[in-house]
Amino acid sequence: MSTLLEERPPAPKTTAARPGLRGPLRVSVRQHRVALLIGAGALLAGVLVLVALRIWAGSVADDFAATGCTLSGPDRRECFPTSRAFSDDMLFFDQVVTYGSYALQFLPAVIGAFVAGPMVARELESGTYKLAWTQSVGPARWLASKLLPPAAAVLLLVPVLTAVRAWATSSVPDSSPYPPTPWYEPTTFVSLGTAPAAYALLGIAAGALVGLLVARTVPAMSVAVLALGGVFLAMNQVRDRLWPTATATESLGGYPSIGGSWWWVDDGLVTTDGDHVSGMDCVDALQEEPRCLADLGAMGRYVDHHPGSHFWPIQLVETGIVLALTAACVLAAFTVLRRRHG
Amino acid sequence: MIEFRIDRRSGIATYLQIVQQTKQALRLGLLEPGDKLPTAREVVEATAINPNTVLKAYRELEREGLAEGRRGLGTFVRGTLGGDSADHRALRAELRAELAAWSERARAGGLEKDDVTALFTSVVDEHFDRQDNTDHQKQGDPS
Amino acid sequence: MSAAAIEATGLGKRYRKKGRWALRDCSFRVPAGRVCALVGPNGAGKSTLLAQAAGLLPVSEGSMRVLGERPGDARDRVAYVAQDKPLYGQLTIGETLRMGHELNPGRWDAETAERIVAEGRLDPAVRVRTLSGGQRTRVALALALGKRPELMLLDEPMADLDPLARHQLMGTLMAEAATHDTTVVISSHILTELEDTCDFLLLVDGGHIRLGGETEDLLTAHTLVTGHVRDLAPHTVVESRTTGRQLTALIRPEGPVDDDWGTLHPSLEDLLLAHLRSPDAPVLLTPSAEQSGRTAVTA
Repeated sequence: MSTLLEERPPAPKTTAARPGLRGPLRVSVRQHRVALLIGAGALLAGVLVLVALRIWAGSVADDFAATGCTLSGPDRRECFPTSRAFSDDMLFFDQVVTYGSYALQFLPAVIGAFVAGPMVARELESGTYKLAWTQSVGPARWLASKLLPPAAAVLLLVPVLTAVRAWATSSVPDSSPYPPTPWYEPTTFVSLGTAPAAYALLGIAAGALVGLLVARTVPAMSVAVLALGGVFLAMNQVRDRLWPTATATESLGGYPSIGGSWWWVDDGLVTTDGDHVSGMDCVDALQEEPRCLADLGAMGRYVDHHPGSHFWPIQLVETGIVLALTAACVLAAFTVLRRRHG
Repeated sequence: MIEFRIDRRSGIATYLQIVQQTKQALRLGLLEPGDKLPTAREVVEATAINPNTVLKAYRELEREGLAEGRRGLGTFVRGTLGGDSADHRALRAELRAELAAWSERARAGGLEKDDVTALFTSVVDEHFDRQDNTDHQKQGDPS
Repeated sequence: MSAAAIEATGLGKRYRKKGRWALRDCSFRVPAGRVCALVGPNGAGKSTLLAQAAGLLPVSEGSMRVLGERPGDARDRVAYVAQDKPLYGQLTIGETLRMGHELNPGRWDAETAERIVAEGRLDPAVRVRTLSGGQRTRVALALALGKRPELMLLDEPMADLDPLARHQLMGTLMAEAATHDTTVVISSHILTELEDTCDFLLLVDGGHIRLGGETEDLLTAHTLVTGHVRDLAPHTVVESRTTGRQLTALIRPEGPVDDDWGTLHPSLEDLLLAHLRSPDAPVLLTPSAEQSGRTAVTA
């Protein structure tokens, strides 16, 4: 049809714009705007609820202090209803915070399932990938536009939520009969510090990889949840080894005393050679055989533990591992994508 | 402006249908020298045929001296077909009247329409060379 | 020789290792500027071929060049409409066209895309999920044409259209192709759908290219002959049938055909049916469909 020159209108004004990410990002956000809005709204609501509850709990504690009653004080009949109401309020507050940290713990799985299923696998399942991948911007930017909006939402909101959650528990009134769960409990640990954001990012990356591999919406969602659950369990298993433990020792007669909220890892006997051995062999019917101890040459006791000051080192190592996994998933996802379209 | 009608079952090559319809329009005075033929785009948009087919037809019209392409403007009717001089117009009217009388006689005599058409065609074929028709044999040519 | 829109050398594709070959040994060329009909029975490999050219499927063996590049690299100059007309159901038509603009920066022709939608009397505020099959096709074509591609790959595009919409959309497609020198490759298992439209033809059958070339050249290369039963040498016989003493055959004449044979020009449909009925007929690629650098093509 080259002879049609005389009828051809002026050539289109092509600005030769290099296909960037802005277009695909806008498209991706428009496609998933409802889910993204609901997700961001839920996170924001979580922040607001925690702040409001924390303020409320503080004022409840102040009011209780003003009554002059204490929970452990001498039993005064007139104090009973006030103490009980205070105790109930504190239980409610504790439960909300606990559920909040559960929610933070499940957040990565929820995000992962969303990215794996509705965002990625559904495109492969319904065939719309054939539309998306044949536009000028190409498959790689398509995938990037799936990863970035949720990542941005996570990086903006999860740290805020985590900080508010930490503030809410760290400032539980001393008088509360429900002290916050210790930092080293699995559910607590992954809802504090930098871990929640890192896990949420892993959720996005693993979700994308699973979505591309499984390519069917519902199975991809299940696989993503299982995979992230697996990572949680594995990290729980190895967490106490992520940082060298501290060791406290004491003579045979006593047990090492450690200040603050510390995490027990291991304990046993110290021999005359300075070796650390398990004392279990000498335990018979819950009692230690003095002769057995003597045969071992036990001189004292040790406790391997993580003091409260290890919270951040362990957090940062775990965050690093999770981010490395995230990077590996992203890389794998782009590789799988390349294989798929050739 | 002329509008082409493509008959897919006629067995006549599509480009020839365009050529013939243009000639027909010239004969009937629907097109006159200086008129613009529709652009290939306009023709294919209306008929859903291949653009090259239209170009082929227009090249054929140019070759026969009936049209000319003007760069950047389109294709225009140039030549005329034997029928628009005053002499020809008069002759056509006269022949038409004779033919009408001839047809009426055939009908009154009980001949079928097909018989009459066949008769007419065979006489015309005898008196004009068949050059014009040879191309039509290329049945099924899609262009 | 003009530039090639698609060039394949020994192209093969199978979806699983040790699986069935969906395409095998395909060497051909589609010159730029043609409207090419990709025809063949269901399951012949038409969709595979188109998806490969669109850069959606890795090539298992051989090679393919699209507009002179690796298929995926030419993505910005190629538009592809898959058979199921995939579109995002949750977007409105207007949002779908805006997506076309955003995913094809610097190329998008909003006016053309909007005109094609408007010609179907479609409201841009309507969600894609509520559209009928024909309306979806129109939106998918608007999206493809709005990209101003140099090569359009259309997989059975007209299958769910009523005759009027089919005629109208085909007209629009041809008009756009004419105006922008677009090469168009349309697949179909119904040849009559494309007979007026295409000027180039590829017949795919069982994963192989059986015929390729300008339709006119293919037609003139074949003759239908009838006569007394006897040897047709030296002509290449595509298909022959004997009824009593009479022989009817589709041949590729090698030299003049004897006078006592009755000869007829076959239609495109005669040609395709004869080849589909005779899987052993030798492959024919006219020079313009032949992949340069590789002269002979094995059957």
